[in-house]
Amino acid sequence: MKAYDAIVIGAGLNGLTAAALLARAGWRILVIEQHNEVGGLAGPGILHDHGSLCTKLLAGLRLQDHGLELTRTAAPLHAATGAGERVTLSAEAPAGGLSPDDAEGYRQYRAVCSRTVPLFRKLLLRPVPQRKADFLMLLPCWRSAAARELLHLAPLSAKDFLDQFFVHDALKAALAVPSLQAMYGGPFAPFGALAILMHEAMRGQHVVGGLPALAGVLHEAAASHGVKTRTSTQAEEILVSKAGQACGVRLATGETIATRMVAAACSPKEVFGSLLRFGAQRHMFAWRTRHLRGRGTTAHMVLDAAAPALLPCTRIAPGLEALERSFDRLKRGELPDTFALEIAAGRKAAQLSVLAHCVPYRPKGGWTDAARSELTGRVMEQLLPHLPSTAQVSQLRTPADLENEYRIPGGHCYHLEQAPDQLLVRPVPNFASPVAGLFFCGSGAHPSGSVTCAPGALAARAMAAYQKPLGRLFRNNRHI
Amino acid sequence: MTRYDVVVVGGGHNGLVCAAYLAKAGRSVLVLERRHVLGGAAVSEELYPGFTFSVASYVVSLFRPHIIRELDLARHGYHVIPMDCAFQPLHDGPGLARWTDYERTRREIAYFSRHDAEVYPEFSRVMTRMGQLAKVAIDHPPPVLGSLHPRDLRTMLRLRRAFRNLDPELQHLAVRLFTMSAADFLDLWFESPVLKGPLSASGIIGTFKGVRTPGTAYVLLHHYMGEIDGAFRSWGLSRGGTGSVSAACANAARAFGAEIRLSSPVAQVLLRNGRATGVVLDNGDEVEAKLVVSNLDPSSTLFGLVGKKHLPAATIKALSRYKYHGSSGKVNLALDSVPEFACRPGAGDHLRGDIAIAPDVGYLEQAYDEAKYGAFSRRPFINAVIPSLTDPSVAPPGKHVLSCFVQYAPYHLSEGAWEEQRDAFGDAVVDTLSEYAPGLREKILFRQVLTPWDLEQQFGLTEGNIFHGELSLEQLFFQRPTADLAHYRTPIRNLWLCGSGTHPGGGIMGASGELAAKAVLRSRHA
Ligand SMILES: Cc1cc2nc3c(=O)[nH]c(=O)nc-3n(C[C@H](O)[C@H](O)[C@H](O)COP(=O)(O)OP(=O)(O)OC[C@H]3O[C@@H](n4cnc5c(N)ncnc54)[C@H](O)[C@@H]3O)c2cc1C
Ligand SMILES: Cc1cc2nc3c(=O)[nH]c(=O)nc-3n(C[C@H](O)[C@H](O)[C@H](O)COP(=O)(O)OP(=O)(O)OC[C@H]3O[C@@H](n4cnc5c(N)ncnc54)[C@H](O)[C@@H]3O)c2cc1C
Repeated sequence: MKAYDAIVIGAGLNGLTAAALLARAGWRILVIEQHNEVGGLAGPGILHDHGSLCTKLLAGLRLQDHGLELTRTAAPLHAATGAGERVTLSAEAPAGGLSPDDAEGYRQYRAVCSRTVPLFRKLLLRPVPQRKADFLMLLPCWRSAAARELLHLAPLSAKDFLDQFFVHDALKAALAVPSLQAMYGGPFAPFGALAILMHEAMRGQHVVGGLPALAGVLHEAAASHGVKTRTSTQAEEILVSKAGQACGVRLATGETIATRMVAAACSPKEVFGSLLRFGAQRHMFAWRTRHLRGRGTTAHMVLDAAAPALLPCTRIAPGLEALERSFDRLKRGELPDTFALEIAAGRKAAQLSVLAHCVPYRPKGGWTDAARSELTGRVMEQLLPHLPSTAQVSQLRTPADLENEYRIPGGHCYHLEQAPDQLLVRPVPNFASPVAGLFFCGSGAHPSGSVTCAPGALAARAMAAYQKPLGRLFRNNRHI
Repeated sequence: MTRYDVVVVGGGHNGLVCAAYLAKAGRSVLVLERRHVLGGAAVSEELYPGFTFSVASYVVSLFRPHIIRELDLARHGYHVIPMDCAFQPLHDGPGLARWTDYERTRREIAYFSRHDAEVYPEFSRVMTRMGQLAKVAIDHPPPVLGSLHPRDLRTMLRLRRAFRNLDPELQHLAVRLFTMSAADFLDLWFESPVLKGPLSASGIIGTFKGVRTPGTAYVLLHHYMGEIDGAFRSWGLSRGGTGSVSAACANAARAFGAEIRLSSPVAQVLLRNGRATGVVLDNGDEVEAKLVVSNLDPSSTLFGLVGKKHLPAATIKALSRYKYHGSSGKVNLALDSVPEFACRPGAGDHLRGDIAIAPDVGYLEQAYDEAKYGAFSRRPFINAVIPSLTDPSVAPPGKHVLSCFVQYAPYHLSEGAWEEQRDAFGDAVVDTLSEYAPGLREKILFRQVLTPWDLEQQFGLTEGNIFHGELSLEQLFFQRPTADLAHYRTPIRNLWLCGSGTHPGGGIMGASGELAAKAVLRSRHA
């Protein structure tokens, strides 16, 4: 008999979620993680916006009992509108510091966001509709006025979308940031509006203590249901039986562990690129997956500086056209002069964590020391008006570093770009792969990246449903 | 004074097709055209003695075969000569020519990549299959979203059936195709930048988007939907220039009893109690009619001929956001002799098709990057044809016509005006071509440069958009031009639209005219 019902590769938020939910239903689960601590990208204080947790999907885990605390409302966001000037954008309160035109624009913008939220939640927080019944269930919501509005807005570029509401260029640029993070394209590229609206739809209560706290809670919940975790353990290959069934995992040490199923919480590009060996992949599917796009354009920095005025979160961006020009340079493999920056508290006091968007994955000539200090230098220059002059960069992760460190080929924040053709119609339909028993449960699966934990939760359900016809009855399936 | 059943404003090919269908159904129809020639953007003019130019549009492929049949256009002079080749000159090597003959194409592509040569036939097969899906969409009016009317349900079912006819792998691809960029889509298949250049270029024609801009991939399908004489063919040249297509439509319309007046610009649509009752010409003449159908783009029609004060606020808001963003220009040259390309000398068959200056994806993206901030591309994408090689009637013996479609030339310049930059733009085009065809400049007898501004002045195309509005996803199908104007009707009773600003959009297809006429005939007031 196999030792495990499922092995989860990767102890990021999604891997932990899937593991905990399955274990709660009685599965014997092993989680393997290459790093020596759990949390994945949510571990070391990289992430800023941790307000998109889908608590509904996790209700069964009773995370509160394990110490999860949520704030009542989303934390406000600041946008720098000039040297030392900032405006406050919050979902609940009217925006502060805006000109009357922009304040009215912000009100309308929020109204659009809240009209489309229910639609996004319907589409994203359940498996991708595939059967006739799924489509019929969605029919009423697609006949609504909000659906029509969304169909019209979604294909717009961030620029066309935001121009409808706002006058102030830096404000528009700040609001366009989610589209830069999610997609490979500047603010002039179509579907930026989709990324922005999707981001707004998922924002909600914040986790007290930040994401490492969430990872800890999930880990504890998982352990309480009997999940075993092996850290500092790297998966090297997903073993596939002659019959085409995923049957085990080979570790970097050479050890193999047998299992009935495998849930990959790491990037699908890694799975297809290195974990599945050639031959296990069928022709058409291999073709589809070879071209998954995950071109990362975000770098992370830690600054040694205290700047309470910039907290909890501030976005600094030069303006839409300037950002588009930065993106042009990135495309050509050059280092732009200006970036879109997001600043939040670092892991320690007197530290800031900075995300820089519009950074090339690998500049011409590679990430030499010169190129790295060029990048930090330019970012510091842009930050200068907002920071004490003693500030210093103590750590830099380029997209290429993220690729190496977290094994995300291409180094994209969400494992795969959130391009519309990689969302609902993703190359990996829902969670199952053509290799029987191999499932995806990380950010590369529906509904894609950010800290919703939804891919993990939905994948756990799909795995349980997959098992059923095989006759194995799990005690608590309905709770997943 | 006679009162017509229908006045059609504008004698572009869509207006003429619409008039022909309405006249065929027994309505008394009057077409009013502003210019002294018919055809709008599908027009032939003798700009230089002995040389006939397809001034604007230059190749034909998408004209709906059933319209040719139903209006008997072949008898009225519609004749399209298929082009056999698509040629891409390069600085080094022999360039790349793709032929109708697959074997020959395979050999050409293999010079650059064996892999690409292998998959090219499969790619064409897949695209042709998916093109059939698109054909179902363009041959019928768009459904009303969420409507349960039998007609709309039928449309949805028809689309569903066409979709189901694809095998699952193609269904998946078809869905993705609509939102991908041309370059990303071609990356799924090919490795050679030389092949991807001209292929991806067909995704950007007429739009203000780059080959890496999402939403350009599906435009590639337009190149796999072409039919000439009932057989699959990509593009062809109309004998006597594209004006002959319009002339055939006009002849058909007249044969069914329609009346056509040239040099009759319409100033205004007459309104009574919020209904259209006719039109007023620039010279003050009034023409009364039960219905008015406009061939102009939606903004010229509703903002120009009707006026904002007669429109509901929602229409004004939606239509003000409708994007034109003209991005293309045209350079027409009369030549003393055949141009010769350094990479493939001589006047061989490779010059009889279309000639693209699109050496690779990076070149095209660079051209777009320059233009998106409001300057014309210094090294633009050029699509050229030499119709005189296939159709000697358009130039004196031994002499030739070279027609160059050019991108990008943004309507809104960040500095200066088009009137001042027109010549510089023309020079950039000739310089670019001369890099591949040395000696071209010395052969030029006459040159006409049309910037987007000129297209607006001359053809009434708002912001010079060649398709009466950008072909982007939020402006297509049941949202073309906007959700509430998508069914050829306008908020003004008895005023209808039939131009390229309506579904299925731009290009010499005749489909907008036909579908509008059929919608008019179905309505109670016709
Ligand atoms: C710089 C950056 C900033 C971001 N900012 C935000 C933000 O502000 N807000 C937000 O909502 N989202 C943000 N995101 C996205 C968010 O981090 C991710 O979508 C989410 O955390 C991913 O969780 P996951 O569990 O799917 O994957 P991961 O967290 O990537 O977990 C995968 C785990 O698998 C491990 N692994 C991979 N391969 C192997 C192997 N072969 N063997 C063993 N272990 C392996 C990795 O080490 C990793 O721990 C950001 C991402 C980045 C990169
Ligand atoms: C430079 C260029 C190149 C192109 N190349 C191609 C190509 O190769 N292949 C292809 O398929 N398509 C091409 N197109 C697109 C295609 O030509 C158009 O989409 C199509 O011809 C539009 O037809 P239409 O009948 O809808 O409108 P139009 O042709 O624009 O007709 C509108 C008519 O209304 C008239 N008018 C305007 N104002 C008034 C008024 N106030 N009163 C009366 N009449 C008025 C105009 O003079 C015109 O005749 C090209 C277009 C351009 C501009």
